[in-house]
Amino acid sequence: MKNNKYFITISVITIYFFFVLVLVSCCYGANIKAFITDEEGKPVEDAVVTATPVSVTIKDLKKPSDVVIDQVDKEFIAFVTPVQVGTTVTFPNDDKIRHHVYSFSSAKQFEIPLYPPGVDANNKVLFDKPGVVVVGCNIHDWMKAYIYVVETPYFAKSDSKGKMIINNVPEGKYDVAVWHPAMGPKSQGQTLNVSVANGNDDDVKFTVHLTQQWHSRRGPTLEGGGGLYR
Amino acid sequence: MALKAGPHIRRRGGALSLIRPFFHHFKSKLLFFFLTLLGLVQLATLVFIDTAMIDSAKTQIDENLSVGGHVFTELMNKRAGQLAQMTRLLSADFAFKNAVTTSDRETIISVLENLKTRINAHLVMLISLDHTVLANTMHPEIVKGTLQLPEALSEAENHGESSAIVTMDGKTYQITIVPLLAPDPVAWLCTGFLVDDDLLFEMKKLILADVTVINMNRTESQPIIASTLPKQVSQTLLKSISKVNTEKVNTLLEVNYKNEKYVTAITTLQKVGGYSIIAALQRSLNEVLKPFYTLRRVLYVFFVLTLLSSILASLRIARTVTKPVSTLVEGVREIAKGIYSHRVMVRHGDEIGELAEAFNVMSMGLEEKELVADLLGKVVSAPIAHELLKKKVELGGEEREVTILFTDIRNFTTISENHPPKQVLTLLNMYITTMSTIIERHGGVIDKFIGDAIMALYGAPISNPDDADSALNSALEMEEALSGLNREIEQMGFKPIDIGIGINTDTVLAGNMGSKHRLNYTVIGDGVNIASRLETLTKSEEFKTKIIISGATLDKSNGNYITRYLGDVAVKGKRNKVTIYSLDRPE
Repeated sequence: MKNNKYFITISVITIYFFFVLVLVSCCYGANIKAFITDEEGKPVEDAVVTATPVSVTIKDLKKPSDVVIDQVDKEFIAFVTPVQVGTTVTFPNDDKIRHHVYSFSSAKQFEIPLYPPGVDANNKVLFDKPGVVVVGCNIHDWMKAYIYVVETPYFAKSDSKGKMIINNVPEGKYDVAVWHPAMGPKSQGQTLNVSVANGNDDDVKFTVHLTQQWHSRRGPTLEGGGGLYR
Repeated sequence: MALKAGPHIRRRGGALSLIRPFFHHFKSKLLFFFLTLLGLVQLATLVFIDTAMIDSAKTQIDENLSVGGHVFTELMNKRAGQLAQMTRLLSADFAFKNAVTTSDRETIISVLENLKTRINAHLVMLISLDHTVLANTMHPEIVKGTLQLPEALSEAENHGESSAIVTMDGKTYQITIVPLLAPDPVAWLCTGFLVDDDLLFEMKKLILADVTVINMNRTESQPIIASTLPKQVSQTLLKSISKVNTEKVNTLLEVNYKNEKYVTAITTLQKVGGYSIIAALQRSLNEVLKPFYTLRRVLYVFFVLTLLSSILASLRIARTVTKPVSTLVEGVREIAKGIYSHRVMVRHGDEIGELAEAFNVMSMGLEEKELVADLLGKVVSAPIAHELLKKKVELGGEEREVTILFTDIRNFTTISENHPPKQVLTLLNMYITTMSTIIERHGGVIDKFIGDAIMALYGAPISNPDDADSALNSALEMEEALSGLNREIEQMGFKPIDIGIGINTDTVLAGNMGSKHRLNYTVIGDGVNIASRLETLTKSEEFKTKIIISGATLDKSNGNYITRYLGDVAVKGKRNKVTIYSLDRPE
């Protein structure tokens, strides 16, 4: 009987946690799963999908946490970084040489003149306007990063398989849109209306038209080589 | 041979006769032959060299131009590449990017001017991503210009950057369009460099050919963009080019301007829309042929020199031949005159020397023969000697009609007995000389002397129609001569002599008689005996004449003689009687 009692206890705890889990998931709405391909059906990496609430007002909006765009081996990491308006981005320098980070984008113009390796309190930039900010390095023409500043806190970036999940989107109606640095005008303005129901994940799919992007050639490294950057 | 040919050719006359005398000379023939031969060889050489040289020059030009065309295109591409490189450098300027983002037009124009100065460009433009000209150093006053080079920009949009040759405001530029990366494209930067005569003159130094860049757009009022050629030449070129299909890569054509011939190669530099911009490369054929012309002048001089020296050489050769030949000709003429003692002095180791030697041997032989003939003439009568020399001497004879004259001195035996033999011989020689002279003068031939008797022939070995008359006249003259002769004889202490003459005409056998080694030309037959018999008859007192002739002789004569019929006499061994006449001298 001892065993039976133990079994009951386990069962009760399991059921409890199950309910707790269900309850939690109800409160936090659902996930939006997105899959991005190009016109040939190949998965597109570094695409950003945003879910902008239409019927929902975002309450108790927290200040977005800081984001880091690192510089390693004369490249920005990551190439695409979606952030919410009000996010502060830090640009640490993980190389042994100096960098000169800048942007002339209208969403955010800034310049961190030639600064040495390491983390510096001054290497922080606040992105307070929505839009695309193209970040470059003045002394390394090929270095490029995109910061996609959006109003909504619900966004995600596609992985190499073209997939992403926007977690815990509260119940309600959303305009779901896609953005990619190389997205041509044909694909712009693609918006899906998605109603998020609690506990019910939504799958969205975008096909984007990517145009050719012109970049500077990467200079030769100590390891040799060079060549086209992307 | 030459002597014979002379009159033969002269007979032809006509226009040739003026030329012929020149060719009579061996010298002239040799000269003509050598000069013709040499001239032909030289002409052939010249023609061959000429053709080969011009061909080679053309091939050389063709090759040069075709290479030049590639080089020119390559240079223009390289230049475009360099310009693009410079433009890319400009576009990477951080301060410039910064200035562009300010959107302060005055500043941007000023920056563009600055960039223009940095790379010595002729124009710099900033074009927005939506194809509006934001700033243009050529027209700083225009705020938003329309783009004049849509093709070049779309090319840049497709390939990241572009280069083109475009005409703007009447000037042609080689332009480059590159994106202004910040680090994404924010605008297009366009730089332009003039395509002008100066540029082409620079190129000319490298490609060693004249260059003309032509806009083949038919609407273009001034198709010639730039040229290293004088304006008239480039205009002529343009006319020629407009007639050919320039689509073909490296089209070659010849353009004539005044006396200059330009070989032209056409290379397409750019094809945009419906028309193309071409580069025409020219080289002057004359210029390439210049060294050849020098060579040709040298050849001319050389040929003239060789011609002159060959004239001298052939004259010299001719002289070595003609001089001995004329010596020989002179010798032959001497021989012809009968001067057989003539010898030629030609010392040559060749055939001419042999000929001269043979000539001398011949003249020696002739001299010897002449000597023999002379001697023969003394031994025998000259016509017989001649007859003997003419023909091959052989035994045998022929039947001929001959008038035979016999004469002898009456009672010569008595004379010879009363005088010393030497005196008698002198007398006889005197007599025979006188009589022989008369006989020979009348064409008679002394057959033989038989002591004081003379036998003479008329009609052998050579016949004459007046043989009988000659004999009769001889007889009359002999009779007449006798009185003169007798006066001399009397002075010598002799009594005057008297002679008898018998003449008969008959067909007798004439020829060489005797043995193989010793023979006489004589006549035999009854006629001879009759003549001798008639001479004997003159001794008869009844006839009272010194000369008795036969009726046969009288018949053969012209009959204009004083004759007396003496009667018909029987002659020993002759069946028919012979009618005889006396021949008397006119009183």
